[in-house]
Amino acid sequence: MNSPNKSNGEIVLIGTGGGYGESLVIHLGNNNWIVIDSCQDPTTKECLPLNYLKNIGVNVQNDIKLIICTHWHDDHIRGISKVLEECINAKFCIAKQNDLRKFLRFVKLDHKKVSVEASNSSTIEFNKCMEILESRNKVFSIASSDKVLLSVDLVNNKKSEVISLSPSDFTVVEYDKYISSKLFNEFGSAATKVPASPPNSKSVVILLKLGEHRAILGADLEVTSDDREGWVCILNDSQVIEKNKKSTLIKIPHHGSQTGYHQRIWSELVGNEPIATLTPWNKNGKLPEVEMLYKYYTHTKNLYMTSLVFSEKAKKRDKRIEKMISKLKCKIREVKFKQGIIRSQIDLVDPEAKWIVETIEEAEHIQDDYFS
Amino acid sequence: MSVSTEIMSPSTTMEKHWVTDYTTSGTKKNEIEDVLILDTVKDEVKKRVIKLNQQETLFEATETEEAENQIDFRSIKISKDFLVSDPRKYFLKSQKWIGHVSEIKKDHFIAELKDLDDPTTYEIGEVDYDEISPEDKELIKIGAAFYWSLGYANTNGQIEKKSLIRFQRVNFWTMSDYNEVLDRADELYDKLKPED
Repeated sequence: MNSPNKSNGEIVLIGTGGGYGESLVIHLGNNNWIVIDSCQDPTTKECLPLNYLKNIGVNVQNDIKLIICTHWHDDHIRGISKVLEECINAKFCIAKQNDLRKFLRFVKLDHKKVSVEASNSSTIEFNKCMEILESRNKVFSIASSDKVLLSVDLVNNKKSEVISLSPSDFTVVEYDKYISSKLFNEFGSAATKVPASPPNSKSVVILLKLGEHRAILGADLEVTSDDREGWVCILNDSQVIEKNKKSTLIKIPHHGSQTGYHQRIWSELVGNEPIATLTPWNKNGKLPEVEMLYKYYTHTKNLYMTSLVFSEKAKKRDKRIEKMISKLKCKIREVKFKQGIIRSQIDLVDPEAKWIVETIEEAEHIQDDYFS
Repeated sequence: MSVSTEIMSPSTTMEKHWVTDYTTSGTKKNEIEDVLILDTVKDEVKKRVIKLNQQETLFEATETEEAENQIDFRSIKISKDFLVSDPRKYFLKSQKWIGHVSEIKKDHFIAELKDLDDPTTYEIGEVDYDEISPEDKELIKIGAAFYWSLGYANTNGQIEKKSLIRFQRVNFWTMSDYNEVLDRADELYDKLKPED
């Protein structure tokens, strides 16, 4: 695989089988790259977005301009400190916090639990990122609704832009209350690990303007009953979405779940038969459910998944131990690692250009026979 | 003459100790530890008796040369090959995890398990409450951490199958711990001021 040429945009979705995270690497044009989230190979501990970039010959020190951490969940953040460490010219962007001082206190408190193995990977990674930024004398970049995070000039007065569409102001305030009431009170004790907290309203959704083309990267944002947050808030209130220029690529939010779906996303934000990509979820529960995948399939036949959802068994072990496990009133299953990459490229300056999609390793193009 | 009554010099190596000579000593391999310890203790007791016989009174024997006369088991050196069962070798064949509770159900809980013997891919476990000891049940809550050991345990020579789940006890931090954390967080906040 080679790096795309300067006038080609590229959006690469890297998945890990549903248990070890996802990441996006994006070429905006003219050797300007961004990385959104990060994930790791659990065996080698290698950072997968960095691996991809180096394999195609990208100069990660100079060409990565922005790293975005869409939200604070383990499956989106593992290895992100390594990305920041190597991409020395990149800005580091996080979702807006109502009280950043409080948030940093919470991160530091959770990080202190490392010694009793009750700390989250996310706070360990975030803590390292803070230390790196401090050593470089750099600051956070902040994502919020309708904010331009990065703008890159192309030829012929064209440009590419990275715009955050969330979190909403309401979400920012609500999350601040959540940190105080739940995170500090319930999970502040030294031996208690903070669980992943739904809903994912604080996820950073990105609108990419790649020259003549548009793409929506949905992170884990969900639809809630409150239209001051989530997708409904974006659909109702965003001022930067161009009604006459719909997205031709969408990274489907929240692993294709029901709560990540809204009809208006597909009618108002996304054009006909877009490229639609998603990663599965394979921890507590499996996503996408077949019914939801079919629903997405009715919207577009250009549907791609980084790996198929699969059943799992326990790890292979000494037969005596396996026998003991089978006799207990317990069930154990391994969360397997399966890397899949969906690489989508497009000519940035040709408005009629179509996406060229390539599936690598476990990634699959979903077709009719999947549902038979 | 029986080998067991032969006087052995202090420089005798363990390989040449009469106990290791199975054929002549008639000892079985699993009796080695017991026999060696008794053999060594016997010597110490003999020395003590001799010392006592040399003193006028018990007081004199004990007070003035107390340290020297006491049987100091710490100084009894036994080759590491013949040590009694190391508590760490309690489990002969085992599997160990650290788990964190992620969901609470009616008759079981679900946890994310990190294999301590192979910390690569992790596992999801559904653990029945019947597997949890009564004093640990009150510690089950979302985010709680536990250690789980499973395997064959050696209890005084008896091999038993064992599954041990033990929840971490709450480890309260001191004010000093909190202050250290908060001070460092505030320091970082001042330095990492976000762009406007």
